Amino acid sequence: MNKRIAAAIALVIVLLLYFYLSPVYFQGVRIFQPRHFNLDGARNYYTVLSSFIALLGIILGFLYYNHKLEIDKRAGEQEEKRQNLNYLIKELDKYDDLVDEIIHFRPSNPIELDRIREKISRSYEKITTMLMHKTKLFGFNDKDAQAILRVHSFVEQNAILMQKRFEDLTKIELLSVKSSYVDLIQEARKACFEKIC
Amino acid sequence: MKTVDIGKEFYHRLANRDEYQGDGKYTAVDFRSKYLSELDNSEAWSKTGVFIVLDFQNVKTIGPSFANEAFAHFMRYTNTNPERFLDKVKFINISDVHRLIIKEELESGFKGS
Repeated sequence: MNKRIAAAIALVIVLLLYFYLSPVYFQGVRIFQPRHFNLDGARNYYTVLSSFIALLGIILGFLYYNHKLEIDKRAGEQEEKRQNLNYLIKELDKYDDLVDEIIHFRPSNPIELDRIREKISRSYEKITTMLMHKTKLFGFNDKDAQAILRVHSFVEQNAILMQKRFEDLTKIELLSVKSSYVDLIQEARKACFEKIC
Repeated sequence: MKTVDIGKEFYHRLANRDEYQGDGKYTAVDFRSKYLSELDNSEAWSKTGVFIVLDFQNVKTIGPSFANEAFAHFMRYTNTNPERFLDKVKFINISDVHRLIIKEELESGFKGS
């Protein structure tokens, strides 16, 4: 768009220069070249030309203003999406921290484990509520949203992370799910960061 | 072909896979037995046409476990082809994110016992 505007402005300047200078300096295209005229004729000619240029200036100014409004609007929408994405990333980080607590066996008793599992479910619900407006809020397509949903599909249906009793959990078992989980959460974050950049 | 308003006729929060998950109520196993039991055989899948329409307008949330148990269960009859399932079971008034949750479970396959 900028190249087109620059080309249009250059063309207008060339045309203006032509109409200003052609009566005085050189032979132009015969059909556009005014006849040689006296002082009054020249004054009239340049008066009409100046009025025309003023009108052209107003039209160009209006077009520029509209174009600038469009750019500002798009920039505003981009900024809003960026802020929404930051919020989503924060929520994903919170979700990740909670899952991490379980993977590294930090809950010290069954109640705490249940509390963390419940928080994971609540965090997921918050994320899916945000994703309900995925296109408007984040500029996400289906593939981006699915990358995020895939994380909880894995976590919620993983018996070790979300179902096994506290007494039956072992560190080895918990660490065995880490690799698959980390791959998924990284893909989810990638989907978000790609939209920010 | 019947239409079921799931949120009103069953429950508005579809979270539990079975009696062992969450509070064990309104489970996917119950849902499947109540509305989709006639599809739980190969013969049902040899017939063409929509079997049931599931209206999601009153559903507030659906979890992956529920979607997997209720719907991915039938991938055994469709040659793991989600489109064949969706030809038989139509979802209406469903949000994008709910649709994607179900799609993810259909594509990843049944994980229940």
